[in-house]
Amino acid sequence: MKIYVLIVTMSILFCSVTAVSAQKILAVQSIRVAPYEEALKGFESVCKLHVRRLVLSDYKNIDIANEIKSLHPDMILAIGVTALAKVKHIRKIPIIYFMVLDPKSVISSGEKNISGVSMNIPQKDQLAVIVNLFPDIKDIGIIYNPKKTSFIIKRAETAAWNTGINLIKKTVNTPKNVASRMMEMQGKIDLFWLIPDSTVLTPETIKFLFLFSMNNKIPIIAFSKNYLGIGALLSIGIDSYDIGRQAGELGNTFFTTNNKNLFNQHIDARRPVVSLNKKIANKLGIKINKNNANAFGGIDESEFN
Amino acid sequence: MNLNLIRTFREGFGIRIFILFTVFTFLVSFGFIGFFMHFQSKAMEQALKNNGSILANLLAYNSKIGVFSENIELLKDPVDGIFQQEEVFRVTLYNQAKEILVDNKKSNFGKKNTYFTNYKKISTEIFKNIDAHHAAVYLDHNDNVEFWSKVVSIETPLNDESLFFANEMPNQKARTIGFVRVLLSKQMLHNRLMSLYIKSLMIGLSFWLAGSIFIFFVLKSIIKPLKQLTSGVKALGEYGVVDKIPADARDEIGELADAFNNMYESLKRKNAEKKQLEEQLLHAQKMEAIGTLAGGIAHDFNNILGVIVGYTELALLNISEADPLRGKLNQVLKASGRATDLVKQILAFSRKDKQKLMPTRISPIVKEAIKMLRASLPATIEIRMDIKNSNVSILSDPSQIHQIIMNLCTNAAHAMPDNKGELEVSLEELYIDEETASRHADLQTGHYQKLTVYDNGEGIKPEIMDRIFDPFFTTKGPGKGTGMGLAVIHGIVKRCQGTIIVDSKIGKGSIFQIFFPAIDAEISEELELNKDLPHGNEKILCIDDEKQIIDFDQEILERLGYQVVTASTAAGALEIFKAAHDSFDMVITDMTMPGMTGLELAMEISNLSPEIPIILCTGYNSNISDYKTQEAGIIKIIMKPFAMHEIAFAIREVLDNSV
Repeated sequence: MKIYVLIVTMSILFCSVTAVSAQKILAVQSIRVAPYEEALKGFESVCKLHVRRLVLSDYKNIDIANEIKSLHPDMILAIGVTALAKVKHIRKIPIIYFMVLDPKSVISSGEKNISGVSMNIPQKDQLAVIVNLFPDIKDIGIIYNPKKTSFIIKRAETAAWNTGINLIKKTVNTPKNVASRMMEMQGKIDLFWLIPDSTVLTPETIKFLFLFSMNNKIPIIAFSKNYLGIGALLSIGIDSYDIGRQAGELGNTFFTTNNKNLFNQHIDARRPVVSLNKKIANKLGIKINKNNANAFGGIDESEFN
Repeated sequence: MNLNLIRTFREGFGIRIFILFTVFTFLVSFGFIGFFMHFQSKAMEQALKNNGSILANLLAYNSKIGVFSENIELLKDPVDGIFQQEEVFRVTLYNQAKEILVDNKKSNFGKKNTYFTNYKKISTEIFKNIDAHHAAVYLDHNDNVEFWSKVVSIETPLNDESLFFANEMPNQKARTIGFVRVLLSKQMLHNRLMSLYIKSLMIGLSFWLAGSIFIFFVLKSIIKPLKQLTSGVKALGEYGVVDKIPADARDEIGELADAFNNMYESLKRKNAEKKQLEEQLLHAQKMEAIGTLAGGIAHDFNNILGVIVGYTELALLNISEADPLRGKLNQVLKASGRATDLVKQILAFSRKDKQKLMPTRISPIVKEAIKMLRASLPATIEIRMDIKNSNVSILSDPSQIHQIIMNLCTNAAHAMPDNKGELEVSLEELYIDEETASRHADLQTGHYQKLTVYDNGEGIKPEIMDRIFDPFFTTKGPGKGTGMGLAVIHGIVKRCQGTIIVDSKIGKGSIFQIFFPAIDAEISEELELNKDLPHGNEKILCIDDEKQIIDFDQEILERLGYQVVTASTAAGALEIFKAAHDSFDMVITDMTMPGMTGLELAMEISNLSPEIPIILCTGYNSNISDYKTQEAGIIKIIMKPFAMHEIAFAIREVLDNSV
């Protein structure tokens, strides 16, 4: 029953879109979360075309790829890694993804019709922020699962090498080892760099990490503002709206030039959002050189101070 | 011993109350302790379970990281924190695979407990059971309680992207990552309960003892007056006398003691009254018996006297004037006259005389009698009179009322040393109520005329008080009194249905109170003595051998306007008459006189002057025949003692008829 309703709905949708514009864009969204919505808005703000959405979490047990093919969109927007995984097999329709951390883990076969903007802010940019704000930092600890986030580590290593930072890395295969790895770094690091690794970050390990941070006065740099509230000193996060805009720019380029060779472009998020928890800074006795904050667009302090 | 105890319990009110109260307070105290301990035990057990659940849940929460990471070092602090609790003696943590991560135990617990032999052998069913519950699960053993709680974690995000906006992600599922097992010893609970039990027992015992001691003294204070009361009642029952029971308390027992004391006083008073009444009854019975005896004798003796006097007079008529027997017969006649007077008094005492009782207003009689007494008694005796005018009448013979006054006042005068003193006569109307009547056997409720004669003479000795009304009892010297005065008064009063009450104190005087029952009757105008008494101015010769009577007669007659010439002997009177027989209009003579009887004198006077009317005064007239009186010229016989109106009417009647 649901299938029939879906088909009818889609048909009506595309008929109306065709009436307005010749280009049909289908946005396939993993789930309904605010960052995805903002990213889509960012896309639409740049690429002024009619975009119709398909939220995967609303449909279960349906072969979404076939359904999408049957709709013949001119472009597919894959918002989120789940959406990208679902549409990556579509070869004849250009696909732009965004809000994906490691697109290469999904599209490793090197599909040519897929371009997009990852959620990853270049590690060198992040390290630059760190160095600017904490000039005295020398040793930065990091724990990761090589199977998941080695691409981040590789970039971080390169950036660290270039900036003279000593990156102390610990690998884990299971969350159980996070605590012991963290404890191994006790007294050896000036700062702990939290990376978006789901092996490292479980509810238990997060608690432990921040507890450990407070007990040993080791500041934690997180990748999302969400962690400031539970004890991170600083977050270097993404700007979802800007990522959408980056993707929109890619779309515009495609539609204006209609050059398929422009595809297979994979770019990182360009704008880091730096937020500071001053209370944590005070508790840890860390002084921040805010004069250098202008280099990356300033520090957002309002929320936690 | 046991029987004595049972008897003491049964008979002792105080002991019974004390034992009952003590047993009751014991049961209440220790029953309360029992209930208290029961509920306290349950509460403490429940508190232990709650505490154990909280500890297990707390440990499960705090050991999340350690269990998750299976890091023993991370589990140390949470486990040590739980071990701070005194009751906790073993803590075991399991990972998701039910393998023991930590198993800490206190060294002083459970060494000999067989339960710990199989401690580590946990069936999968138990884990399943614990996993199925959200809250902690406990297993109750003999010496300990075992608490289980599961260590729960939120499922790890599926992808790394979601880490950026974990707050935005839909609710994630919880999963069990391990188990916590906390053993709490019941030893502490038992120790606390035992301590509490001992304290409660001590407190209960203290309260019980304090309550028992308190109630002992309270009961003692209650029982003491009860015992005194009981002793008083027993003493009253056994000996009839009892000391006054102290009634200090103003409570019910005090009121009871007061009531008992009042009851005892009342009984004592009633006994005294009863005794007095008995004495009065006895005396009345005695007087009645004496009266009956004396009356019977007097009646027969009176008849015998009639024969003696009759034949003596016949004998005197038959012998010549010079006969030497004449003097002897006159002595017989004189002695017979005295005997006749005596018989008359005895009959008055025995109430067998034939005087008729009539409705009488006695106040005029009393006044008249007192006026006569003033003339006869020495002036050194002060006579006071308090006669209240009243229309109340009594049933009596007026002459006998007169006699009562005369006798009482004469006795009063005799009781005054050196003839100096006060004599008071009063008459009043009063009502005798039930209370007053109950104190005197002869008195009944109703209206009375009370005649009181008081003197401040020597008084009557208590030892003779119950004999004063006996006939022939006298304290006067030989020849000074017959001892019949009060006996006659007693007879008159009893005949009038009255009562005499005498009170006397030695040296203070005596008081005689005579109560005459009042009647409702119209008094004939004839009985009103002093209103229209017939008067006259005739000359009368009056003869009586007793000076007191002759003075009385002279007083009356002169008061009625007559000229009176008196004589104390028959011979003296005859000489006076012979000397001037024409000047006399009438002769009044006594019957019984020494030397010559009134009858003989009347015959002598009739011989000298046959026209002159003669009135004979006698105390007893049954011995005088009509023939003799007519022969002696006697026109009328008046019974002595007579009242003023009697003699006044008699004189006038005789004088008017003889003209």
